[in-house]
Order: sequence, then structure tokens, then C-alpha cells
Amino acid sequence: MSVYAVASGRSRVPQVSVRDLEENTMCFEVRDTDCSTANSLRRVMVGEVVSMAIDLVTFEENTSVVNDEIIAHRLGLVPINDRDIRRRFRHTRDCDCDSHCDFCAATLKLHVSFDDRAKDLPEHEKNNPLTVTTLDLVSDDPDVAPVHFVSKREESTSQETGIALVKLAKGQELKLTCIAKLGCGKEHAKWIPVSKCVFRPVPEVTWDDAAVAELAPTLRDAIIQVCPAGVLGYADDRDRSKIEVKDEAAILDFADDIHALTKTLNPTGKSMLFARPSTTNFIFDVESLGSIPVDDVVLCGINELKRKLTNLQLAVNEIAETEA
Amino acid sequence: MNAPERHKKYQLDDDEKRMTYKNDEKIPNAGTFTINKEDHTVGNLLRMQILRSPDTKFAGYQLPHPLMNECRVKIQTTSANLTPIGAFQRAIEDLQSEMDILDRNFREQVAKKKAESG
Ligand SMILES: [Zn+2]
Repeated sequence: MSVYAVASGRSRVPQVSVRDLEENTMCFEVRDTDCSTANSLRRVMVGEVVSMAIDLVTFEENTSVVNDEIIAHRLGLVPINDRDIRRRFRHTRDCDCDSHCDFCAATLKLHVSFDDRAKDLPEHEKNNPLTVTTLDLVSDDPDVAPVHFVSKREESTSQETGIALVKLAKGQELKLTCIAKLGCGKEHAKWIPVSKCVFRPVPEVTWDDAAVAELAPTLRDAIIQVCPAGVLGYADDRDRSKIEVKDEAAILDFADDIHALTKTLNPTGKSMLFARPSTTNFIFDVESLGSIPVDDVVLCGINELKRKLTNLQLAVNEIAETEA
Repeated sequence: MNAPERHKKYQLDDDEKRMTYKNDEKIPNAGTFTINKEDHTVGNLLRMQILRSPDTKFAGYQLPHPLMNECRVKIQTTSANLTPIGAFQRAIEDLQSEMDILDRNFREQVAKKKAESG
């Protein structure tokens, strides 16, 4: 019998606990599910959550040293704030318009000329190169703007400098128009709303506490020193008889080393540590770029999976009818 | 210039069906589903769910070619009482209920965390 043969036809009842939630990062644990569900959730968050990015760039003037194509690529990678956009915007391909319109795209303009800017500068700064940043992008839609800070806290503690695009020298000018559209990570990586989206199994760890307590104090120190500092430690720093895992995320990487050492130390020849990755409990780490709040990214991912399943259900019911 | 449009990777063409089914003529109680515009996300999810059932003899999925945006799921059941189509339907229902619970619990826990931190 395989490990997956649980009660037939019974769906799992996953439990969620949120360990940490900030504006742009979150860490949560999903218990009583399966690796396949966890991986599907991760995949839809990366590949199929809809967000906005610059997709078309028209150059009117580019006398900088950087090619049009490279500037266009850089512009594409700029995260675009997408507040309320999923409600208001639609995909260009689903829109009635010929190329793009206010319902499916936003226009951002950029016009920077070194000579114009240098006029207002003091004499000794007139020859310094001028950095064109995303702050120079002027959006025609009040809801659409490049993201400069991933969170309110970062906004209050750091200065807004924008994302650097190009440097201009004397006599150089850049003038262009960008069209931002909806898309998803499956089309192009610039639409991926997360900068980190990973999951790992929760380690299931048990110690043979009696055997550890029997050891000489120096040998217990030796076990702790098998791993890099901070992975293992004493449960009580004065008592020093019980070893504990301090860094849950790293323990599985060093379990083999601990096995090898404790087997030689134990008179019975058995390992004093039992550690294995859980097959049902997973920890997710998600970090949003700032274009979509991180909890929304996860919810959009779950929604996307639900939508896929509904589509498949309709399709399989149709097949069942025709086959019957 | 002749590259296919990017959204064709995940959006069905106008005349394309979401899924087709072909009964296996040589193996009893077996058949293959071809799901268009889907990949590992759905293929692996379904396979693992179908394998959970003791009525399943075989379940597997493959992506035939990286340039073909389709996913094939092959199922064989242990008896004629449950056809591959029935096994597929059951797996979908179970996954749907799992996703509903996951969705609800996630919303609840996020709201709780937000209320805690103010
Ligand atoms: Zn339009």
C-alpha cells in the first residue's frame, strides 16, 4: 500500500497558519495536504497570477548610449502598481478595441533631455551624468504607476530615488511612450508578481533524549558543532543535557552528519536523531514585488486553481454525457 | 516574426476543446484524457489525487512535447464499476472541496493575523 492510499474519495482538509505577514512578505504553513497541491499552488502563483507590465515601447528620440531594445527590456521589468486594476482592466486580446484602449492598457510617457535639465543645475554640476529613472515616467492613468517601494515602512524610511534606467550625458535625449498591459508569468517573466515563492516540507524531528543525556558534556558539544552555528543548541543553556533544533529550515541538510556522528557515540549503534521531511505539512515563503499585496497573490493563486478545476469539471461532465 | 502568440500557451483557441477522452482499446478499464493548454500544475495534481483511491490501478501524466501545450492523463481502474471518467470526476470533486477549504482557512488566518498586528 502506498503512502497516498488514504481513505478513498475523501478530500483532505488542509489547515493554514500564518507565521509572519508583512506588507510584501509572508510566511505561512499548510498542514494536512499533499506535495502535489503545494507545488500546484506555487506554480500558479509564479506563472498564472495576472499583473501589469510595460509591453510596448515606441521610441521617438534616443541619443543615449544604450540601444532601444535594452531600454525597452528594462522598462518591461519595472513593476507596475496594479491597485484595483484587475477589477477595471481587461486583457487586450479580450477587448473590443483595435490595438489598445483605456479599458485594457495604460500609457506612460517619458521625455528627458540632458540640456533641459542641466539648465537648472548649479555650474559645478552641469557636467555630471544625468540618471533617467522610473520617476520620470508620467502615467496618463492615476491608478497606474511604477512601484518604488515594496512597503509603507520602506517608503517612510528611505528616500525615493526611482529605478535607474539610463544615464544621459551632455546633448543626449530620451523620448518614448510605453503601453502597459495585463499578462501573466507564463507569457513573460516580467509579469511574475513575486520575487520569491518557495515551499519546503516541515521537518519532523525527534531526539533520543535519554541517550543524549548519557553522553559526556564534551561529546554533546561535538554533536552541536557538527552543524554550522545556530542550527543545533541546548534546550536550556545552564542544564546542557538536552539538544534541540534551533534552525528548523536547515536541520534536514545536516541530518546525515548528525546520524553518522551519533551512531558512533551511541553504545547501541543507533542514531540519536530521527529527522525526516513531512509528506503532508509545508511552509511557504512568498515575497511580492509590490505590485500586488502578497496575501492577494496567494488568494489569486488559489482562485486560479479553483477556476482550472471548474473548467475541467465542465469538460469531464460533457465527456461523461457523450460516452454514456 | 512567425512566433505563436504568447497567450496561446494558456488560452484555448476559439474552436479548441478543453479536454478530449480516448478509451484504451487494448487495456480494460483504461483511457487517456488530453487536456489542452494545461501543464504540470494540473497534471500532477490530478495524478496524485487519482492515485489516492484504492480503485485506481494506474494513473500517470505526461507533457508530450514542450512546444505542444497539452497534458495527457492516463488512468486505469481496478474494475468496470468505476470508469476512468468516473475516477476523474471524483478526483476533481475532492480537489475542489480541498481548494475551497484551503481558500476559506487562508482568508480566516490572514484576517486573524491582520487583526492581531493591528
Ligand atoms: Zn482595449
